[in-house]
Amino acid sequence: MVNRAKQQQREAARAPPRDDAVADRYLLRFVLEAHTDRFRYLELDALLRSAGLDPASCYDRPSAAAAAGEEPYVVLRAPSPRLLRDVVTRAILVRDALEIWGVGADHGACAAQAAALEGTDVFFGEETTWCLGVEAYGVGLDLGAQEAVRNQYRGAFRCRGRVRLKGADVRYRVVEVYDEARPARGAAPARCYAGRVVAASRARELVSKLDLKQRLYLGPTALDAELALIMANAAGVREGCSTLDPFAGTGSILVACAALGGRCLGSDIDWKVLRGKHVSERDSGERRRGALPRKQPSAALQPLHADDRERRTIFANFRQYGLPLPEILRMDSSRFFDSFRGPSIEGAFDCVVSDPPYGVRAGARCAGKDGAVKPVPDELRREHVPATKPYATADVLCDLLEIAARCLKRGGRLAYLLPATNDLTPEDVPRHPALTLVACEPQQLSTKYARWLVVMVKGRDWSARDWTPAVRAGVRRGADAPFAALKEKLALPAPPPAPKR
Amino acid sequence: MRLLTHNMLVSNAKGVSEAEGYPLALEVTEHRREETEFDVETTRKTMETVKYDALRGAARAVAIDLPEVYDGDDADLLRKVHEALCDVHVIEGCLVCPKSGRRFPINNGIPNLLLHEDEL
Repeated sequence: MVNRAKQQQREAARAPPRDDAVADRYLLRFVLEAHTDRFRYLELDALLRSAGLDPASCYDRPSAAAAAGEEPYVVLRAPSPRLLRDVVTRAILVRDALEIWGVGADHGACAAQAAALEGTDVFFGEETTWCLGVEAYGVGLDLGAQEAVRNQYRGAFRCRGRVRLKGADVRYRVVEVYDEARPARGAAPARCYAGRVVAASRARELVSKLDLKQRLYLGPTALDAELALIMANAAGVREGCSTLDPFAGTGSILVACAALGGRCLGSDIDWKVLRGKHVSERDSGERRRGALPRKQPSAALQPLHADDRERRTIFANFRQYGLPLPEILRMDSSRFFDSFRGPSIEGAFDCVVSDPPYGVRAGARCAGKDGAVKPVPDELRREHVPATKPYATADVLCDLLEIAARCLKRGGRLAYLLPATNDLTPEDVPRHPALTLVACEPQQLSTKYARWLVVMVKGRDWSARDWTPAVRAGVRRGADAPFAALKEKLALPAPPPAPKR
Repeated sequence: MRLLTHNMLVSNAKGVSEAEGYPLALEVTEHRREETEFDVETTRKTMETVKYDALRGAARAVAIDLPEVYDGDDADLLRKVHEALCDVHVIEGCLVCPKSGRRFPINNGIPNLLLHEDEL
């Protein structure tokens, strides 16, 4: 312990001098995944904003090709290492950040800059283990080539301690970046970076921890943990944020929000989804609702709670991860505000995150019955299952926007998923007078369809004049041009055949 | 359901206004306490939107006695308020509309606010 304290003191006293050319610059490395590459900058911007930074002043937005995943690096200017760490540790799509010590057109120039920055001082003691990684994107470097690169940096990274490849105290890295996506063999890199890894994502671990394969209670529409976490970050969920999902289902979005520190309220109309199931009950069509998980739960999870041995509910998923329990209500989101005292719900939430039902995998329903309504006999009322009728997609979106516009604080964010064709444009996304569109990026599902992640921010206070029955009816009829365009593009399945009588 | 949520809910029965349908009477057959971290400032902030009288009535149903008058400077009271708002979970019970008497059951910790088709 004493040694460690001493070592930290020494490190603090001998922090590397900074050169203005490279000071406060960090090379962020994104996670390489085709299905999330369009969400990188959306998430990064949201995290920068929630750290109180302006994304535009922190980095230069890369060209469309780079944003589409050609290059998984971005140079970020952060005013302090603390803010940088705040952003990187909470990111799902950033792997880690390198404090840039040197940058150059080739290794020679880069190494010289890094060496000049460090000066002649050796600032890590003998106890400090270290390693120097060599990384190139787009080309494979064999061990010999890596060693050749390392040799050029002998003067730049001088350490007295032992080298340790795994779990080193100090990790240096040299990165080669190429202009072309697939450079020819032996091509020279366009730029080289050298520096020290100063922050790594901690939230990324949640992707495997919250993996659906180990989830105790699932429905047919449970959202994959990674996308749920990205949505939570996009909506700005962090420690202590109040979060609402008016179409909660089995709570996969709320689980992600709670894991990032949110306090959650969810509602859903589906009795089966919320009530849970006995362990012995099984559905043929709806896989494993309440049955045992396919994969053996890992040691990182909590032991099975006494409440969850026999019957699994939405709460089992929170207990499993040791998360604070959400508040869950069974209600009809098309009549959301009928059940709340106005001042208690209006402007009460920091974030609204939702994957509303569009009838693609689960048909949307709301309370009510088309046609003649028979009164329910009193003796049957206790056990009566209320009738529901189809809930039109336009209404689902209208209600979601209205709920977000009223329930969010000013500056609060809404993040939701919208299934549509690939050619959806920001103009097609439905608008609410109190909400401003921040971002809209796709996750490709097929050559024709994509799942769009839409992020909106509440720009001004909600007013009843914004959303009169007339405005709403206009949207409902599809008279509103953008909405009509959207309706055409929505990837909805063909209506089911009429039931046989 | 925590009492914080109870404090937000009004009866959605047809023909019952927001003022008439609040607060919902709380009947508790099973409840549980799960201690959470207490922070004076957070609780004081939460209380800005909480209706104290309704909270006091609901707290009685889970055997927590709150004084008649709320005092935001009383740290002991705030601790008790926090306990009532956040630590108590109603598992089984009922919410009753003060005007129409419509009963909204709470099962497995989830209140069912859905109206039947003939009540809409």
